[in-house]
Amino acid sequence: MVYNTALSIVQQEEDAEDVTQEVFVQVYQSIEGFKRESKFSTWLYRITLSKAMDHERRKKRKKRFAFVKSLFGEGSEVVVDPPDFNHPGVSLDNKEKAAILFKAMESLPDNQRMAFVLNKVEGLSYQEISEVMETTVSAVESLLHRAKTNLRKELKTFYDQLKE
Amino acid sequence: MKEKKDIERTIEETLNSLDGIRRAEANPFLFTRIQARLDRSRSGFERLAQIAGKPAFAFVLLLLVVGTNVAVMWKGSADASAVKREQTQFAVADEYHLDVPALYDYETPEP
Repeated sequence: MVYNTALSIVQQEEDAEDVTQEVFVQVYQSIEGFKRESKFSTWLYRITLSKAMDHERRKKRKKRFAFVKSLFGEGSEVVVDPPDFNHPGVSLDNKEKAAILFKAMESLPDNQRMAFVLNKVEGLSYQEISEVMETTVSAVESLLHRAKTNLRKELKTFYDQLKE
Repeated sequence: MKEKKDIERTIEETLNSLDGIRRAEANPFLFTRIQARLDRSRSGFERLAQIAGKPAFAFVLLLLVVGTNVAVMWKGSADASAVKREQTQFAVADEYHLDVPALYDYETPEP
Protein backbone atom coordinates (compact mmCIF):
# COMPACT_ATOMS: atom_id res chain seq x y z
CA MET A 1 0.00 0.00 0.00
CA VAL A 2 2.71 2.48 1.03
CA TYR A 3 5.19 1.35 -1.60
CA ASN A 4 2.55 1.16 -4.34
CA THR A 5 1.28 4.69 -3.62
CA ALA A 6 4.81 6.09 -3.40
CA LEU A 7 5.82 4.34 -6.62
CA SER A 8 2.84 5.73 -8.50
CA ILE A 9 3.81 9.27 -7.51
CA VAL A 10 7.60 9.25 -7.76
CA GLN A 11 7.66 6.77 -10.67
CA GLN A 12 11.06 5.31 -9.82
CA GLU A 13 11.61 2.16 -7.76
CA GLU A 14 14.66 3.39 -5.82
CA ASP A 15 12.96 6.67 -4.92
CA ALA A 16 9.81 4.79 -3.92
CA GLU A 17 11.90 2.62 -1.57
CA ASP A 18 13.43 5.74 0.00
CA VAL A 19 9.99 7.28 0.46
CA THR A 20 8.63 4.05 1.94
CA GLN A 21 11.49 3.99 4.42
CA GLU A 22 10.83 7.61 5.41
CA VAL A 23 7.14 6.85 5.89
CA PHE A 24 7.76 3.97 8.27
CA VAL A 25 10.32 5.96 10.25
CA GLN A 26 7.77 8.79 10.53
CA VAL A 27 5.08 6.35 11.63
CA TYR A 28 7.41 4.87 14.24
CA GLN A 29 8.29 8.30 15.60
CA SER A 30 4.75 9.73 15.57
CA ILE A 31 2.68 6.69 16.53
CA GLU A 32 2.02 8.10 19.99
CA GLY A 33 0.53 11.18 18.34
CA PHE A 34 -1.97 9.10 16.37
CA LYS A 35 -5.28 10.13 17.91
CA ARG A 36 -7.42 7.39 16.32
CA GLU A 37 -9.80 10.02 14.96
CA SER A 38 -9.42 8.33 11.58
CA LYS A 39 -8.52 4.83 10.44
CA PHE A 40 -4.88 3.85 10.66
CA SER A 41 -4.78 3.24 6.88
CA THR A 42 -6.08 6.79 6.30
CA TRP A 43 -3.29 8.19 8.44
CA LEU A 44 -0.75 6.02 6.64
CA TYR A 45 -1.95 7.21 3.22
CA ARG A 46 -1.68 10.82 4.39
CA ILE A 47 1.93 10.40 5.50
CA THR A 48 2.79 8.52 2.31
CA LEU A 49 1.31 11.20 0.06
CA SER A 50 3.03 13.93 2.04
CA LYS A 51 6.46 12.26 1.84
CA ALA A 52 6.04 11.36 -1.84
CA MET A 53 4.99 14.89 -2.83
CA ASP A 54 7.87 16.37 -0.79
CA HIS A 55 10.20 14.09 -2.71
CA GLU A 56 8.73 15.26 -6.02
CA ARG A 57 9.12 18.93 -5.06
CA ARG A 58 12.76 18.34 -4.09
CA LYS A 59 13.36 16.63 -7.43
CA LYS A 60 11.80 19.54 -9.35
CA ARG A 61 13.89 22.05 -7.36
CA LYS A 62 17.08 20.12 -8.20
CA LYS A 63 16.17 20.09 -11.90
CA ARG A 64 15.43 23.82 -11.87
CA PHE A 65 18.69 24.57 -10.06
CA ALA A 66 20.67 22.41 -12.47
CA PHE A 67 19.04 24.22 -15.38
CA VAL A 68 19.91 27.65 -13.94
CA LYS A 69 23.49 26.48 -13.30
CA SER A 70 23.77 25.30 -16.89
CA LEU A 71 22.68 28.77 -18.09
CA PHE A 72 25.66 30.24 -16.30
CA GLY A 73 27.92 27.59 -17.72
CA GLU A 74 28.53 26.16 -14.29
CA GLY A 75 28.92 22.43 -14.05
CA SER A 76 28.42 20.11 -16.95
CA GLU A 77 26.40 17.75 -14.82
CA VAL A 78 24.05 15.76 -17.01
CA VAL A 79 20.48 15.87 -15.74
CA VAL A 80 19.27 12.33 -16.13
CA ASP A 81 15.88 12.08 -17.76
CA PRO A 82 14.71 8.59 -16.82
CA PRO A 83 12.94 6.44 -19.39
CA ASP A 84 9.17 6.02 -19.29
CA PHE A 85 7.91 4.50 -16.08
CA ASN A 86 6.39 1.02 -16.29
CA HIS A 87 4.28 0.16 -13.25
CA PRO A 88 4.84 -3.55 -12.54
CA GLY A 89 1.16 -4.10 -11.73
CA VAL A 90 -0.16 -3.03 -15.14
CA SER A 91 -1.28 -5.77 -17.52
CA LEU A 92 0.99 -6.43 -20.52
CA ASP A 93 -1.38 -5.15 -23.19
CA ASN A 94 -1.83 -1.85 -21.33
CA LYS A 95 1.83 -1.24 -20.49
CA GLU A 96 2.57 1.21 -23.28
CA LYS A 97 -0.54 3.32 -22.76
CA ALA A 98 -0.06 3.22 -18.97
CA ALA A 99 3.49 4.55 -19.37
CA ILE A 100 2.12 7.45 -21.45
CA LEU A 101 -0.54 8.10 -18.80
CA PHE A 102 1.98 8.13 -15.94
CA LYS A 103 4.08 10.63 -17.91
CA ALA A 104 1.02 12.84 -18.40
CA MET A 105 0.22 12.60 -14.67
CA GLU A 106 3.45 14.45 -13.87
CA SER A 107 1.90 17.62 -15.27
CA LEU A 108 -1.12 17.51 -12.94
CA PRO A 109 -1.37 19.88 -9.95
CA ASP A 110 -0.53 18.13 -6.67
CA ASN A 111 -4.08 17.66 -5.37
CA GLN A 112 -5.40 16.32 -8.65
CA ARG A 113 -2.46 13.95 -8.95
CA MET A 114 -2.95 12.59 -5.43
CA ALA A 115 -6.68 12.09 -5.94
CA PHE A 116 -6.10 10.38 -9.29
CA VAL A 117 -3.47 8.00 -7.87
CA LEU A 118 -5.64 7.11 -4.88
CA ASN A 119 -8.63 6.43 -7.14
CA LYS A 120 -7.05 4.75 -10.15
CA VAL A 121 -4.02 3.01 -8.65
CA GLU A 122 -5.08 2.28 -5.08
CA GLY A 123 -8.75 1.83 -5.94
CA LEU A 124 -10.06 3.98 -3.10
CA SER A 125 -13.64 5.23 -3.16
CA TYR A 126 -14.48 8.94 -3.21
CA GLN A 127 -15.41 8.73 0.47
CA GLU A 128 -12.08 7.14 1.38
CA ILE A 129 -10.16 9.68 -0.70
CA SER A 130 -12.02 12.54 1.01
CA GLU A 131 -10.95 11.14 4.40
CA VAL A 132 -7.33 10.86 3.32
CA MET A 133 -7.22 14.32 1.78
CA GLU A 134 -9.35 15.81 4.57
CA THR A 135 -11.86 17.30 2.21
CA THR A 136 -15.42 16.67 1.06
CA VAL A 137 -16.64 14.03 -1.37
CA SER A 138 -17.79 16.71 -3.80
CA ALA A 139 -14.34 18.29 -3.69
CA VAL A 140 -12.85 14.90 -4.57
CA GLU A 141 -15.31 14.51 -7.47
CA SER A 142 -14.28 17.93 -8.71
CA LEU A 143 -10.58 17.12 -8.37
CA LEU A 144 -10.95 13.89 -10.33
CA HIS A 145 -13.05 15.54 -13.02
CA ARG A 146 -10.44 18.28 -13.45
CA ALA A 147 -7.63 15.72 -13.40
CA LYS A 148 -9.26 13.76 -16.23
CA THR A 149 -9.87 16.96 -18.22
CA ASN A 150 -6.24 17.99 -17.83
CA LEU A 151 -5.01 14.52 -18.69
CA ARG A 152 -7.16 14.47 -21.84
CA LYS A 153 -5.61 17.79 -22.94
CA GLU A 154 -2.11 16.48 -22.23
CA LEU A 155 -2.74 13.21 -24.04
CA LYS A 156 -4.30 14.98 -27.04
CA THR A 157 -1.17 17.12 -27.39
CA PHE A 158 0.98 14.01 -27.13
CA TYR A 159 -0.96 11.99 -29.70
CA ASP A 160 -1.27 14.95 -32.08
CA GLN A 161 2.51 15.37 -31.99
CA LEU A 162 2.91 11.63 -32.57
CA LYS A 163 0.76 11.80 -35.69
CA GLU A 164 2.87 14.63 -37.19
CA MET B 1 -12.76 13.26 -38.88
CA LYS B 2 -11.87 9.59 -38.60
CA GLU B 3 -8.41 10.53 -37.35
CA LYS B 4 -9.93 12.75 -34.65
CA LYS B 5 -12.19 9.88 -33.51
CA ASP B 6 -9.21 7.53 -33.48
CA ILE B 7 -7.25 9.94 -31.29
CA GLU B 8 -10.19 10.36 -28.93
CA ARG B 9 -10.58 6.60 -28.67
CA THR B 10 -6.85 6.22 -27.97
CA ILE B 11 -7.05 8.91 -25.31
CA GLU B 12 -9.92 7.10 -23.58
CA GLU B 13 -8.04 3.80 -23.78
CA THR B 14 -5.00 5.50 -22.26
CA LEU B 15 -7.08 6.94 -19.45
CA ASN B 16 -8.47 3.48 -18.73
CA SER B 17 -5.11 1.68 -19.03
CA LEU B 18 -4.78 1.50 -15.24
CA ASP B 19 -7.99 -0.53 -14.87
CA GLY B 20 -7.28 -3.81 -13.11
CA ILE B 21 -3.86 -2.65 -11.98
CA ARG B 22 -2.30 -4.78 -9.24
CA ARG B 23 -0.29 -3.41 -6.35
CA ALA B 24 3.44 -3.29 -6.92
CA GLU B 25 5.50 -5.31 -4.48
CA ALA B 26 8.61 -3.88 -2.91
CA ASN B 27 12.05 -5.42 -2.99
CA PRO B 28 12.18 -8.08 -0.21
CA PHE B 29 15.26 -6.40 1.26
CA LEU B 30 13.32 -3.18 1.83
CA PHE B 31 11.95 -4.54 5.09
CA THR B 32 15.50 -5.24 6.34
CA ARG B 33 16.53 -1.71 5.37
CA ILE B 34 13.62 -0.19 7.24
CA GLN B 35 14.32 -2.37 10.29
CA ALA B 36 17.97 -1.25 10.30
CA ARG B 37 16.94 2.38 10.00
CA LEU B 38 14.48 2.05 12.90
CA ASP B 39 17.16 0.36 15.02
CA ARG B 40 19.51 3.26 14.30
CA SER B 41 16.84 5.81 15.20
CA ARG B 42 16.41 4.10 18.59
CA SER B 43 20.08 4.74 19.48
CA GLY B 44 20.69 7.47 22.06
CA PHE B 45 22.74 9.75 19.87
CA GLU B 46 20.24 9.86 17.06
CA ARG B 47 17.42 10.50 19.53
CA LEU B 48 19.44 13.39 21.00
CA ALA B 49 20.01 14.74 17.52
CA GLN B 50 16.25 14.49 16.85
CA ILE B 51 15.43 16.47 20.00
CA ALA B 52 18.14 19.05 19.31
CA GLY B 53 16.80 19.49 15.80
CA LYS B 54 13.35 20.51 16.99
CA PRO B 55 12.51 24.25 16.78
CA ALA B 56 11.15 24.24 20.35
CA PHE B 57 14.52 23.13 21.66
CA ALA B 58 16.34 25.88 19.72
CA PHE B 59 13.85 28.46 21.03
CA VAL B 60 14.34 27.39 24.66
CA LEU B 61 18.13 27.45 24.23
CA LEU B 62 17.94 30.94 22.74
CA LEU B 63 15.79 32.14 25.66
CA LEU B 64 18.32 30.66 28.08
CA VAL B 65 21.26 32.43 26.41
CA VAL B 66 19.46 35.76 26.19
CA GLY B 67 18.24 35.41 29.78
CA THR B 68 21.75 34.67 31.03
CA ASN B 69 23.13 37.71 29.19
CA VAL B 70 20.43 39.97 30.58
CA ALA B 71 21.04 38.63 34.12
CA VAL B 72 24.79 39.22 33.85
CA MET B 73 24.27 42.74 32.51
CA TRP B 74 21.74 43.54 35.24
CA LYS B 75 24.07 42.26 37.96
CA GLY B 76 26.96 44.18 36.45
CA SER B 77 25.03 47.44 36.39
CA ALA B 78 23.80 46.80 39.97
CA ASP B 79 27.40 46.24 41.14
CA ALA B 80 28.56 49.37 39.33
CA SER B 81 25.90 51.52 40.99
CA ALA B 82 26.77 50.01 44.43
CA VAL B 83 30.43 50.91 43.91
CA LYS B 84 29.47 54.41 42.82
CA ARG B 85 27.26 54.84 45.90
CA GLU B 86 30.09 53.73 48.17
CA GLN B 87 32.50 56.14 46.51
CA THR B 88 30.03 59.01 46.95
CA GLN B 89 29.63 58.10 50.63
CA PHE B 90 33.41 58.16 51.14
CA ALA B 91 33.72 61.51 49.39
CA VAL B 92 31.01 63.08 51.56
CA ALA B 93 32.51 61.62 54.75
CA ASP B 94 35.93 62.88 53.76
CA GLU B 95 34.72 66.39 53.04
CA TYR B 96 32.89 66.76 56.33
CA HIS B 97 35.55 64.91 58.31
CA LEU B 98 33.01 62.33 59.37
CA ASP B 99 35.36 59.42 59.05
CA VAL B 100 36.49 57.62 62.18
CA PRO B 101 40.03 58.66 62.94
CA ALA B 102 42.56 55.88 63.08
CA LEU B 103 45.24 55.84 65.70
CA TYR B 104 47.92 56.81 63.26
CA ASP B 105 45.95 59.90 62.22
CA TYR B 106 46.69 61.65 65.47
CA GLU B 107 49.73 63.83 65.33
CA THR B 108 52.13 62.93 68.07
CA PRO B 109 54.24 65.88 69.06
CA GLU B 110 57.90 65.27 68.75
CA PRO B 111 59.85 65.44 71.92
